[in-house]
Amino acid sequence: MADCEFQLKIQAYHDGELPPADRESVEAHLRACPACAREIERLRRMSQFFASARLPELSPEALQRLHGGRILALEPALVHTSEFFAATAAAILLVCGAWLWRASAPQELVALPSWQEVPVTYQVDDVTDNDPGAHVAQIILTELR
Amino acid sequence: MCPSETGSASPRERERADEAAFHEMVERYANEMFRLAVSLVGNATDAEDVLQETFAGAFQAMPDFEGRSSVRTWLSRILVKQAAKWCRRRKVRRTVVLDASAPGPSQEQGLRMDVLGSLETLTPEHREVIVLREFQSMSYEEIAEVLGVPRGTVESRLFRARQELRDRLGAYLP
Repeated sequence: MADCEFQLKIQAYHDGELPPADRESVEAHLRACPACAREIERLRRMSQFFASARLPELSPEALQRLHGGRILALEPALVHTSEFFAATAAAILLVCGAWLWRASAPQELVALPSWQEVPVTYQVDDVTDNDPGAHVAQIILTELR
Repeated sequence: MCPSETGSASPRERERADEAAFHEMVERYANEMFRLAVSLVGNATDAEDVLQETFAGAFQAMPDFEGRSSVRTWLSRILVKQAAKWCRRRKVRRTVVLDASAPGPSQEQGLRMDVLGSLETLTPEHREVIVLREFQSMSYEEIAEVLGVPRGTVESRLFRARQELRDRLGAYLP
């Protein structure tokens, strides 16, 4: 059988895949070749036993679940949608957090122009006659009080 | 359905039509696809999961189905891919499903067990062609379409798979 030129045709014959003309030539060969006749018998027995295997049936409950199975098909879309909303929520949270942090942070002292510093820098007690601006400062401080 | 009819259908109507087609498909092919799944993954529990994923995948792919192959072939193609993915993911330890009460001489029962059990030892490619041919009775052309390989590849895989099986079942076969 291993060396027989018909070996591939034997399988196709068994599976009903040969055109009528080839089928006739294989049938003629089978009558003359005992090895191929044995081979076709093996293939037949193998197929018979596969056919006799009893595979389980789908239960009604499983069939019912299957009818609802399209929900499973929608899962990827749901996942994408939820991912989008989660990312948006995270971005909003981040912006709000940054805004709150900035709002609660101590304000930096703004450098004041020198003329504004005068009233806070000078104390009335410190004003002496030697200070060149003492007279002006004295007037401003008196006015502010 | 002519293009104008498709074009005039509202999204809601199309959705309803898809759902109706889906339920029809489940009713018609669920059992056959379940048996195919069992023979590929080896047990009913995993086969149910594969079946769920198959029909869910089919529902998603429905708009792309052009009708160039039959619905049966199209579903089988999805299922074979899902089963292969499942086996890779779970490293499924295949168990043989047998009906012990099946009538027949003990030697035949023993042979049946060995034939089914030997499927476990075949490579996934060989198992697929054997299952599609022997359990689904598909033609070479249909198998080629399901697996996305040329017809010649189907023939050679089938030949090698049967040789392997014959070697393992040598004691039983004449």
